[in-house]
Amino acid sequence: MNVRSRKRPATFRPRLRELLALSAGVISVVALSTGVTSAFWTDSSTVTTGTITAGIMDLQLQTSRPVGAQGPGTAYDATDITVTGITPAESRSFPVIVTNVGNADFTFSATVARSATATWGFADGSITVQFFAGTPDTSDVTYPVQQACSGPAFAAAQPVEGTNTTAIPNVGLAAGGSRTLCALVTMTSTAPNSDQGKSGVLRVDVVATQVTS
Amino acid sequence: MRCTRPLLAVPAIALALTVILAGGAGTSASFVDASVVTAGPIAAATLSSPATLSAAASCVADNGILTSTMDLHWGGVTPPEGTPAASAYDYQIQFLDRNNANHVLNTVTVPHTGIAGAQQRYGLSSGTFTNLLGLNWLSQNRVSTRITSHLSGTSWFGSAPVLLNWTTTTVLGVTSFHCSR
Repeated sequence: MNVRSRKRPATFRPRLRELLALSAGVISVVALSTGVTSAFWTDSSTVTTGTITAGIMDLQLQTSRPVGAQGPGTAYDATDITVTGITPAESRSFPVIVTNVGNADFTFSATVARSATATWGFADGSITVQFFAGTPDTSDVTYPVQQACSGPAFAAAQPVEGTNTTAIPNVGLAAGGSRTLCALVTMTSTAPNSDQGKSGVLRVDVVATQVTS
Repeated sequence: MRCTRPLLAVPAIALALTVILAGGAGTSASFVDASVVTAGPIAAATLSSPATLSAAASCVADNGILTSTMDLHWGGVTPPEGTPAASAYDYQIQFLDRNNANHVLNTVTVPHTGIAGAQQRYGLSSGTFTNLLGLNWLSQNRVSTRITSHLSGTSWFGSAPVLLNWTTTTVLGVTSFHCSR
């Protein structure tokens, strides 16, 4: 029997294959980690979308004057909310319409205060403002003029002071929606004699805040 | 042997913090629109005051043995348009003792009568019999009557009162009124 022609043991070839495969794997890992020897084909593509435009919160106001306050931060002159010759225990009512002309639902609130640009001659607490979810009844025009508003009040009558007091807490208004309100301006029955002939200007700050959930 | 906590705890805490912050109000942002509404002026009324009549018309005395009277007159208020009508007024009449630093002797209130500007009247009288019962044998008083307009139900008064001076003298119970003295 020829020794050279003897075949190798049957278990030798699979081990060799495993060894070779392992070596190739190690080499590949090393090559990849160094980054020197690797090369790949790549493709890149730029995707251009349409214009992304931010929505806005925008409330619109209207009294008996034309609509206004369009555009964020725009003021509104409600010069029709004017009272002449008021005496104690008299009140006047005025319409106020708030419309959501923005892109999303919002809640709005309002505070009242004295205008800083005009002299306020009344005693503290003599003039109050109250908002209602309704419409004004201006039929009473004879002394004592005690006009009223329909609907429930948003809050108690607020005295007009140097600091803001909340006259309307957060009220929801969907995009495109509108709310008709009524503002009631009153001189209290206890207004002192020193209020005679005095005047002042009201300031109402209306703030709309986006509903996020 | 050293014992260590699993490293998995670190990302778990980070994830929890992220969830808490995202859910908290502090990180939420929303758009707002604020509008300042400026109203027109709110103006209070000014009350009308009574008018002073001539000396002859403002005080008329009628003195007798048993009874003496004196009528005080003044012009009623004439409120301007847009202010409370004359019917909403009354008049506060104060009797001041001129012998005693204008101390207020008495105050009465009478309503406005008639149309705006109509002459108003307040009468005084003194009876001899009443003076005798009250043992008012001898007295002399210098009195001033101050008439001020007033808006009923309020604390508002007209700014220009009418002032009428007069005197009264009582001798043995018989009183005499004297205007403009």
